[in-house]
Amino acid sequence: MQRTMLASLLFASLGCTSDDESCWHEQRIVEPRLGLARSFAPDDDPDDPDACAFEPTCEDLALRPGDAFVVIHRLPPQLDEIPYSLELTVTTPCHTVEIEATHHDGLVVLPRTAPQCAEQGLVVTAEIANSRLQCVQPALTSETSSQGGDGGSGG
Amino acid sequence: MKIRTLLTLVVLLYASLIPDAHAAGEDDAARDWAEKVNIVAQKLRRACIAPELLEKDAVEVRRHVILNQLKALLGTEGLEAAKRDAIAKAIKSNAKVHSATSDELDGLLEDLALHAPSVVAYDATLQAQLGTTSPLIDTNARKSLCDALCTRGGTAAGKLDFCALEDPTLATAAALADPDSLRAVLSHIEHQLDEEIAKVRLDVDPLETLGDVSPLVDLSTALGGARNEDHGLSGMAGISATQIVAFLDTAAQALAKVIIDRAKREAIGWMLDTMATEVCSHDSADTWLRSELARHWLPSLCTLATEERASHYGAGAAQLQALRSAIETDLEGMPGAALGLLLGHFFFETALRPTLVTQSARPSAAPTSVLQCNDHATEVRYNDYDLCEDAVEVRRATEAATRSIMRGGDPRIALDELATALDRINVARGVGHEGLLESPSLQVVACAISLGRYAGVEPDRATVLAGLVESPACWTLTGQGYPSMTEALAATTAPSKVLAIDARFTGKDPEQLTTLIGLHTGVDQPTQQIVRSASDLAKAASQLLGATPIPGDDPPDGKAPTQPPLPSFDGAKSPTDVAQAARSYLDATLSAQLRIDRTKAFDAIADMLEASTSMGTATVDLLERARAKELLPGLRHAALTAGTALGSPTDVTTLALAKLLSRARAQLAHLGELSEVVRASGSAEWGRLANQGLRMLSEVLAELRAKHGGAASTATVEVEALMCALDRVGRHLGTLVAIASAQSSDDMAKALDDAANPPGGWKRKLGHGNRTISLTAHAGLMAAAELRHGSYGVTFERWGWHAQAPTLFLPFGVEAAFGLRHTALAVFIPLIDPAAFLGYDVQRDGRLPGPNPLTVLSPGLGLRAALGRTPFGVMLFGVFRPKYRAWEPTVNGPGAHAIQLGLALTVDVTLFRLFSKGR
Repeated sequence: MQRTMLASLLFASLGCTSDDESCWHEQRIVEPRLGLARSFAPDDDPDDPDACAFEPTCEDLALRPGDAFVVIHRLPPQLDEIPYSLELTVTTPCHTVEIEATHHDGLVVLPRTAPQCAEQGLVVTAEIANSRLQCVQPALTSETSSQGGDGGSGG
Repeated sequence: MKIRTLLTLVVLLYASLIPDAHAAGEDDAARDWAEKVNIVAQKLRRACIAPELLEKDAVEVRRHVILNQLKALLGTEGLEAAKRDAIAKAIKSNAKVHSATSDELDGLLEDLALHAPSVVAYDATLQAQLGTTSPLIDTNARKSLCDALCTRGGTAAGKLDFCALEDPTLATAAALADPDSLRAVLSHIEHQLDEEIAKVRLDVDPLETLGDVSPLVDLSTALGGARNEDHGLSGMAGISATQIVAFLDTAAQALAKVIIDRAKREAIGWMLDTMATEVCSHDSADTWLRSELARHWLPSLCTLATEERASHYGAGAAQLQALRSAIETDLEGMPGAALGLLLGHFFFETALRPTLVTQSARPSAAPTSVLQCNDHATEVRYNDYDLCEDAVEVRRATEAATRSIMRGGDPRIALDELATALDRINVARGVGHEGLLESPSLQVVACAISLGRYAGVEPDRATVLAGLVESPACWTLTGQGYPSMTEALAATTAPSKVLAIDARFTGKDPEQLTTLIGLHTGVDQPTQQIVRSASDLAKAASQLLGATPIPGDDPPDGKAPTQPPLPSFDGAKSPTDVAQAARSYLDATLSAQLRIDRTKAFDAIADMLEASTSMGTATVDLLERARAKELLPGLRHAALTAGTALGSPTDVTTLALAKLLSRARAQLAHLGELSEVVRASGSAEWGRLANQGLRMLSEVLAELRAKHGGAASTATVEVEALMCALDRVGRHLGTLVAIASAQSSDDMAKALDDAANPPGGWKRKLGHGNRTISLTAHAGLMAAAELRHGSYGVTFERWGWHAQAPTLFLPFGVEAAFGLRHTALAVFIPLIDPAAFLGYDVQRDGRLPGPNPLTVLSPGLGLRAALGRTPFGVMLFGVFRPKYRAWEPTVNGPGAHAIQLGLALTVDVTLFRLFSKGR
């Protein structure tokens, strides 16, 4: 019993109070996040102290060529200045675009339009240091107006 | 002319009668010497006639000593041509004058025979040879003279037979030992003769004549150009100027390096302090033990150890040199400490003083061992009971003499000075005990070791007899027992006017002469051992002269080493002065030879030392076999008086003389052992020297322990404590020797490094009960669980668990080890880990930590257990590695701290022992 209490106190002191890894504050290994969105709402304040309210995800956008979308890459808020730059790659079956971006306050927000052949499948890859994340949109079918994404930060 | 021929025949007759090892004559010099001895005997036989002749002959004998030495010098290989010519010329001149002197002596005899036939007629044989039978001397006067001086068949008790001087050996001994008394006696006799005899008295001062024509003076002048003002000893015997300059030069060069390596020097200084403190037993509660070490064993080092001053010598070439000198001094002094302890203990144990003091007068807590005499408080407490003070004096005198020999002094002179000091200490000074011997056995030792100085070129009975009365140490034994001259003469029935010695001719009672005559009747011919030892002594002294220069060992000024200038005999007033000058010359020659060929010179010194002690031992044997039991009246007198004081027989009265002499022989054997140490000193092998010194100390302590029979007495406890101290000294002996043997500051610094970082340090940790604190590295393999916190690339670790796969482990830190029966347990505090860069991350494709300035830091804690009695061990450890997990090389970039908890298999690499306790 005493050992349990001591363990609880230890983890509490380390900021880990839950096994739920959905929140960055509660993870023992905090990774960057990658997400795609139709737009970046100003309400999505990245500096919100409740970081759990800002979780970049690979939403089910069903992008077709020419559709506008926003690539969002978020570094763990605990990190200080980092010397690495982000390398983004947007790939479709007939087109590839490579983009280099720099984080500002730990955040990259990059508006793009879906390239050709996007309806046949689109992959957005974000690489930086020891992190490699992907958002994948599968090929669109006539039944699905909008499908895709693997639901978050791929690795 | 006829008379001259007859006299020559007489001389030859005497030569044929005298047993002389050299009479067989290997060369002309030996025969010449024998002839001169005989001539002296002739003169003594006619002592009533011409005392001046006797004195002149004595000087002539000494002159022959020098002549023979010069001839030996001439035979030296490698002698410079100019010097050889000068010496040859001087020898030639000397021989010419010598020949002239001989003729002069013969002429004087001839004159005497012509002018005083009555005196010559005193010897019936010679009277017949001279062809005269008309005595001119008054018959009554001659009879009175005979009654007073010669027994001539009479048996009057206590009468001294001066006719014994007919014996050439005794005559020579008398001339060597006590020329003043001899002159006084002869003058007295002369005065008693009638005017007719007085007419032929030769008022010539032969000494003045000698001074004018002395070939040795000429030789000294001839060699004046080669005089080297720097030939004297300056306390640096054995170290040439070249070596000193070379040393200082290299020392200066090494200084820069020493300064750069300051941190290491600090550690070395600390190590020195630790060593000195341990060796000098500064942590001991026994003040006597500290005093023993600081006063006798390691005085220099223990002085440095006071107030931890040894650490000052941890940096800088000059300081290191000073440290080296201190250690050299101590290593040189260790044999002296051993012999001093031995003789001091011998004195203390055999001293009669305690028996001379009534029990009520003795202090209630009188010291039971010479070791207690080191305690200052004890000295004060027993201030009026100065046995301790005398024992300490014996030790100091022995140490001083030994040190003199170890530094290349003439062992004959050193031993003679020691004998004189022992004599001074040993003769009781207390009221009512004046003249008594505190330790009769020690006095025999003192007498025996002093005789080597009187061994001349010719080892014969005369030399031994002369030494027995001329040496102060022997005189204490041999003198004071025979009736003085006045007493002897008073015992006769002759008219008083004949018996009284004229005070104008002597300021003292010629007791030495009477004693000499007494000894003459009681001492046998010298044994073969004495002859051999004395011959060896002379041969070793000659070898000193023959030491040749070492090629390439020239002084820095480029001049070849030179022999010291030959002695000047200006101002010599007696044969003793001449002999003293000759000895000084030999001593100076020895010093010069030390600069030329140290090894060869020290070998010769060792040989001289062996021969001296061997001769002393043989002389003790001779005394033991003496026919006259009153041979050592001083000794017997002291013994009898001591017995009287107690009212019962003491050990001396009951102690057989043989036992007493046997004790003395044992001590002489110990002194002889010093020769091996002297040889080691000559070869400058400090290791050998130190080991010899340590062995001597060990043997002395073992002897003391055996003496006390292992009983649980205070003395036994003290000896055991000293043995422990000796063990501590032995443990650090390697360091001391390494420092003393170093040829440069670099060598010294390296020696200290080696001492600080001995291989095999792990062994010490394994000693049961040992406690060791050291700077240690552990080389091995480790595996660990790793907790990280901080930025690792673009991830942030919040104490997540990871695994550190097996990798190299090389932590360096401080370890406290505790030796157990079969293993050792240690607490290890790692500080850095140079192998930390190899801590690959298996979860990141084996990525190595990005190097940064903090990567090697690994403070933590380890618990290690040695695997049996091996350097291997198993360690449980936990270390904190700041900013260890950096994604890329960086100076101040991000990195995740890591805590590793793991297990390692290591090899103990003990680099520097900071503290140790136990065996």
